Amino acid sequence: MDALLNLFSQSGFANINLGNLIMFIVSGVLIYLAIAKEYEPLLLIPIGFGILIANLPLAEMGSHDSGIIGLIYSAGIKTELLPPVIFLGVGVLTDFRPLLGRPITFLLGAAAQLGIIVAALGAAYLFGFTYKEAAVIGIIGGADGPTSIFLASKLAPHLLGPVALAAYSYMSLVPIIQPPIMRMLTTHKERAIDMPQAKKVSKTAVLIFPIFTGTVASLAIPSSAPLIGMLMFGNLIRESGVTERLKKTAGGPMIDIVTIFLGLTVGATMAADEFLTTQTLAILAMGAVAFGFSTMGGVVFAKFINLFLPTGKKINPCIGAAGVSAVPMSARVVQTFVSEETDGRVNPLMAAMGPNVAGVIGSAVAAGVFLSLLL
Amino acid sequence: MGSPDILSICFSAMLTVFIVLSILAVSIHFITRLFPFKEEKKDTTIYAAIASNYSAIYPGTKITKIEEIK
Repeated sequence: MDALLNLFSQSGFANINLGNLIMFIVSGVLIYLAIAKEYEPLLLIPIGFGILIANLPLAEMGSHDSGIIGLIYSAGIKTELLPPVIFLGVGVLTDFRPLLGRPITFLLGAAAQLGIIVAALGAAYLFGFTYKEAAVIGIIGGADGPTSIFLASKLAPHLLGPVALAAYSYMSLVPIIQPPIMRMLTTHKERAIDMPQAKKVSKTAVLIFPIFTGTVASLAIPSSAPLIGMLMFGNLIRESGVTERLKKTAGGPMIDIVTIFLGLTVGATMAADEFLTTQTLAILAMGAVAFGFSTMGGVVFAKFINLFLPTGKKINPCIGAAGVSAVPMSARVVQTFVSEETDGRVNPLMAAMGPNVAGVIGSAVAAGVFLSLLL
Repeated sequence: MGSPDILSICFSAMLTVFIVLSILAVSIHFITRLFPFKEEKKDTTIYAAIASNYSAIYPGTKITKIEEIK
């Protein structure tokens, strides 16, 4: 009998607490959203399950424990290995032609980083976060999971869980966050601007782009090189046309494996005692602010550019909202919004892909600046 | 020089993003002009041969598109 009681006292049931139970609910909500609503399922399922196993008492499955997840965390996130590898896969999967065919949309990708700045300032001045923590919270506005994880692992590893959760959760909520902002900031006439097709781009230009961009951005901000360098390397693999095997691996099995590891370990950073704090609530609040202001930045800047463009060459300002990254969800949201507003007459999906992919570069550059100035 | 405050860090970040992406935008604009997209050249001799053959077999036929499947 003593042996049985002893065994029970060493079980998770005897050691579970209210915090663990709350985290089980958080985990359940994420898994539900992923399966039932198909919100970012490739990430929310690993993250949700990571939260679950990290909150199993005595199981040593948290990212800061000594078990297998801790091993992956130490080898993959502390060393900053996994986020750049994800960027390699993203580079393989991304077609930059819509951006190259309409280079002015680079500027929309820049303007849509406004939320990073507003959220960082808010986190520092309103909630009293340190500068490093504020920068990490701000980068949620870049709407780029790997960039957020990369920066958090370097500047504020203790915030990795809530920041990643906020980034991926809000990315999945882009269809809810962006349309009201676009509606508020644009007139019906502006939403109905039908942009001509972007000019076609030669194979040579497509090949020069990753080499040129990787070099220039990495020379300007060397600390952004792990992200932009890998992104552009992936894109070169995609476009070269002679590395089909590498392309298939980097854009398929490799990014899938890394996504599993990244999602699980990020989820497993959210042990109850670290996650259930007022700081987490502040981070979630500032994350929403970041997404909102990034959307506004892109839309308003598109309207500003329109002041200088002749009639017939004006930009549909809604495509500025896609500059927040969240590729390709944000571009799809713009397409659906504009199409519904114009009864299907205007379909700016490809035009929105330009700022969408420019936003990926923009948020990586912003992260690089934070690293350079704060590390 | 003391460590910069968060306001100047944020300002620097936004400015840098604009500068880097503007440089890329201008450069890509010139690169795409330097290496413009070229439509595939049509072989006018083959086009004329196919057109004349078809008009002989099916009078009044107008050839609008010739596609080569390799």
